[in-house]
Amino acid sequence: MAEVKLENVTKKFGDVIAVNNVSLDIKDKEFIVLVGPSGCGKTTTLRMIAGLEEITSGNIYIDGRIVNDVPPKDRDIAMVFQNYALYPHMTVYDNMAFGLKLRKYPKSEIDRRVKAAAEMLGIENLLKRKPKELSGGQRQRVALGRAIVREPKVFLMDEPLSNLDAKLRVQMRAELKKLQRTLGVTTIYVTHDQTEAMTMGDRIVVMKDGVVQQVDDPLTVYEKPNNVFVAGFIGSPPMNFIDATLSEDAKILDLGSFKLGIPSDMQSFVAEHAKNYLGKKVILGVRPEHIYEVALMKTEDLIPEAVADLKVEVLEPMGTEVYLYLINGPVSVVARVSAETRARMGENVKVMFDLRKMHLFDPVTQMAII
Amino acid sequence: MQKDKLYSFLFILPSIILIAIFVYFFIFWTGFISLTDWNDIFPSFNIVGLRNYIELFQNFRFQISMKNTLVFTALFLVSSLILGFLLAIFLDQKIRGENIFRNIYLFPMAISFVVTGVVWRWILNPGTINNPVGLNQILDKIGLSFLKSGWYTDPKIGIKAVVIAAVWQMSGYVMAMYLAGIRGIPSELFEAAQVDGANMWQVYRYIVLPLLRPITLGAIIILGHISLKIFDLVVAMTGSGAGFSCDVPALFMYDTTFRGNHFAQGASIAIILLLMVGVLIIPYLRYSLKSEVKR
Repeated sequence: MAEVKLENVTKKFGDVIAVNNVSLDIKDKEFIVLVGPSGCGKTTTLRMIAGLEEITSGNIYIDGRIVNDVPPKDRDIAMVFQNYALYPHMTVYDNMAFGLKLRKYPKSEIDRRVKAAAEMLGIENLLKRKPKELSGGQRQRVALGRAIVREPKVFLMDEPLSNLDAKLRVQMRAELKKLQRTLGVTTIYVTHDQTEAMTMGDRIVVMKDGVVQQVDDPLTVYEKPNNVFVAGFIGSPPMNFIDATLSEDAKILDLGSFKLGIPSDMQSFVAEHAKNYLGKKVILGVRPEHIYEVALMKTEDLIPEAVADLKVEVLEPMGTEVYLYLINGPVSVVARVSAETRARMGENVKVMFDLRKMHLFDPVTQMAII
Repeated sequence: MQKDKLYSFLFILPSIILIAIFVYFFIFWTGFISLTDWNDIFPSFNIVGLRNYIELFQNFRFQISMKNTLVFTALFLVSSLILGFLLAIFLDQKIRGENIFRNIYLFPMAISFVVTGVVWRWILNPGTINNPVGLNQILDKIGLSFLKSGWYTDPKIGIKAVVIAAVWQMSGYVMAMYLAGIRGIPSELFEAAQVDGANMWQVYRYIVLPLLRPITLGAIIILGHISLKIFDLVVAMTGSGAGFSCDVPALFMYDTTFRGNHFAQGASIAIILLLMVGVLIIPYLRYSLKSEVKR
């Protein structure tokens, strides 16, 4: 239906820069998720696209047209708010019909669209109720319905699932995604929840302090994070970061209390890509699922140089898997192992760091090296 | 638990007794007097039934004062509500110096109706054709002399001039009520309506005004009972006016009772006034009690 383009968009509140020089190309029919911690500027960005917030500098295009000074009502967008923002004095039907009534659609067309949307969302039997008589999940659907009936060029969603309980959130996540596919409307979705971002977005935009950190599809963001922030923000439990020194010959990472040998088939790759860091300090990043318990491994997979002995401080059973909080001198990491683990709290456990999947970051710029 | 109940009952007992005597007993007493023939300086308690009421409704001055009070109430309510709402919208635009404006609008409420009455008597004193004073003089000076008027001295205007003073005094209060109400509406609703395609006027018309209905109702009750019982403002500003054109029931009651010594007749006016205010207040009390029980 429409492309959305942000060109060097900046927003200042007084001296505070909320959004700093953000450029984005959002494709037609794309589901893009803005994700980041609170205060990172994601909601402000969304509100600028909606026209609820003026932009300080830069340009916003919707469907090729600059909309910097176009009021929200003329941007042909629909927005779903965090706490739904349903009109409390109107019935569900009127809530959904309001935007169409203002746009002077004929009654029959309004009726057709409202009923179709209600059916799509499974709320046909609620049309005569007022918002206060609805549960959180039902309100959520009405808010979606209000956006759908307008058949806008762009959907803007501001943390629409954050007020739902965990179970419903997972369910709505899938439904929302399916709905967006069916309708094929360009959708910009804001969340602070990295799981939501990973599961829903065609691409995700990771933001911090008003600056875009990375724009990529979820898997790329997960596997090839641009910097320490993205690496730590995406993934749960988060990636482990360990201060290390890379040996001159790119064979060994010295973590202080123990050393890890880089697999022989990786060494030339490391030597080439991290050539400026040989013999220097780096930040080693290892995801919890890439630390294996040796006792549970097949011998042929074992790389003895990458094994270390760490003490189990805390053991968190999660059902199918267990999080081990391990410590050895200054090194403290989380490992995500199978529920069959033999590790016991307070005892030592041998684990292998899978350095084939490691990340190295520059300790000063925090940017990814590998 | 029992002890708690006893204590709380003891604490409110004094006020219950005082209210019972000085409010409810005297309402009853007034009702009784209105059925007697005490229409002289000496008390007399012979029951005459509804004679006082029948005479009252045939009384020319009473008819005028009733008509005046209806005109006054209607104009006063509508003008105060509209003006108060507009002032609230104006103050809601995040203008500079909002506090100053708010205080200015609210200030007249701090003044007694008597003072307001005296001041507006001066302002709306028409003066003479060759020597206009007050508002007429200002209108003359700024070239709007066609707007000059006899104000409350003109029997055709009469009570409507008093409305101006009453609106001046009370619209700030309505503004404060509405402003608090508007500020209580979550900002997302304004934004949702904007995104839905509403312009400023439509946001206020379709979202804000309906949401403020409880406040409008409250304001109507408060202004309505002030208006039906209005006395001090009229006394201070105009008195009953030329041909009773500014007369109101409360003033008529005062004149009848304390100047004319027709106590029974005065009591019957008081009861009529009570019934009028009751018509306004009882549904409101029932409504708010019901919603309190629901909560």
